[in-house]
Amino acid sequence: MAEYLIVRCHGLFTRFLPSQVLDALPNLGSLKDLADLLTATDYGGEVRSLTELNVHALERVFEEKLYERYRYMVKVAEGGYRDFLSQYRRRLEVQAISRIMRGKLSQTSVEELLKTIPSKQFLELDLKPIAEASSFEKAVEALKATPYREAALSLPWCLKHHSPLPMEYWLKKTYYSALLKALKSLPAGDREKAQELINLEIDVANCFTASAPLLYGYTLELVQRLLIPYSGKLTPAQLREAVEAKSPSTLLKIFSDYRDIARPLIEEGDEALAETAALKMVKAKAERLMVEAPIDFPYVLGYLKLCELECRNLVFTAHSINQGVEFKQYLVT
Amino acid sequence: MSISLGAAVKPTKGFLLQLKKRVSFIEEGYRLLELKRDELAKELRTSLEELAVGRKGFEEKVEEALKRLGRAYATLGTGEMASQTWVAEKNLRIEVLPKSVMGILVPYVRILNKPTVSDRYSPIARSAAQAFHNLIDGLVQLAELESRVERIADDLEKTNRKVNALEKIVIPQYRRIIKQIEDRLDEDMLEEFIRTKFVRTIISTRRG
Repeated sequence: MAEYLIVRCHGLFTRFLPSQVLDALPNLGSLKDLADLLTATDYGGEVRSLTELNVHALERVFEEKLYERYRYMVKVAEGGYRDFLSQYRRRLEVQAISRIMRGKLSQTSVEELLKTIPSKQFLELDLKPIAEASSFEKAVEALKATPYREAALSLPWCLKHHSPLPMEYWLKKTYYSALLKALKSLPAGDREKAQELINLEIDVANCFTASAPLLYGYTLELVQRLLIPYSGKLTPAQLREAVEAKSPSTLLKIFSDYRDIARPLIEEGDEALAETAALKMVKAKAERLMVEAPIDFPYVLGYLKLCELECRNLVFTAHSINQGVEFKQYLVT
Repeated sequence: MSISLGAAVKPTKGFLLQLKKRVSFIEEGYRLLELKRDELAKELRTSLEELAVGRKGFEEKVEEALKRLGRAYATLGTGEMASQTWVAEKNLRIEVLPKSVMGILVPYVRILNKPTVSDRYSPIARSAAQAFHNLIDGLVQLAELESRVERIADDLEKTNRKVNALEKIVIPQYRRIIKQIEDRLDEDMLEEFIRTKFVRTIISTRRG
């Protein structure tokens, strides 16, 4: 049992932004208004300590709060739960390695690369050797010394398509494979519920990937290799069919279980709105898990999901305010 | 009474004929330039209308692309978007060729190589990338049209100045000189006539 962890999550739940703050977000006129609104929240200390108020500084505050929340969860967890959470947190690492690889493929300077990745304290691995590699091939070589060694298999594909996507796919595949493996160390009841959430994430990622040939002319051969194999509701056959779909209506039919995501993605071409719909589904599922299992481990996973969504909403709000664009419909509420 | 003419101007019939020939040549040039000016004005008007329509459509597309980019930034965050932009192909190649419109060389732009969007970007970023990719053709067309308008307007201004100079200064000046020479020649003829008459009167008085 992970009593302490679950109890901590119940306690930490109260630190989420209160509903009146969330309701006020779409009506804010400036970053200063946002900062003022956040001073009375869990973000208050960090926001007040900012010497310069700009969108990047605020974004850093929001992201570091999320990383800190991850870190804390791993710290207070024990046994199999700790292993699982530690593996779950590796999504930051996957994201950071993907960024590094994009940079390596395009010969971006190490300084630029390091600016885009979280600081070492929030990661399991030291990514500096990969970031400092002199070429993409050398970075892939450095990757072989990490748990992501399988991703090195994507090198010929990356070079063939001059694209980082095969590498990103392998990183994600390795991540989910390890996450699902870590999931097995959890008690059966916890495992099933947690897996629902993970499968939903994978399905959403596959929906976006599989629609790329029809919507953006991506190469079939490449996209077929970018589908994460551990899908939930979407079967491998359905995903293959989606990749080869010749019309939007076929895609909509295949993704009927995810029509809220598929419609803005396929009919309106608004990927951000589709992503919002996907995150709303994730949020609904997380909240359902938290209600159904308030004293079980899925509550912790639900809590982490809500942390991610809070961060995403705040980053979206800060950027949208900065650009002066409407964003109410893009908030995951 | 004598009329003062310029040093180069000779009040002779030969020179008058030469001047008249020159004026008719200038007037012919003036008429041609006037025709060119009218045609250029028409061309400029058409191009400006085309530009206004093109720019309006293009601005709408740019606005949409910027919105997409903004949403991508907001969804993915600065770090992720920055890294997505690194993989953008930087191989847009264009060729600028000269094309003659009524003797004016305007640029004609041909796209030799256009960067591709497919197979490079993760979801969200690809939608913004596609929107900007779709702007390339329009941007090149618009640049070509703007440059054409600038060149035509520039040439129209020059032609207009030439037409005005011919109409208001050169031709009137030549006409004035012709008039002056004609007056001078008339005066000379009158003087000659009076002198002849006077001489004839003196001769007839002497005869008796």
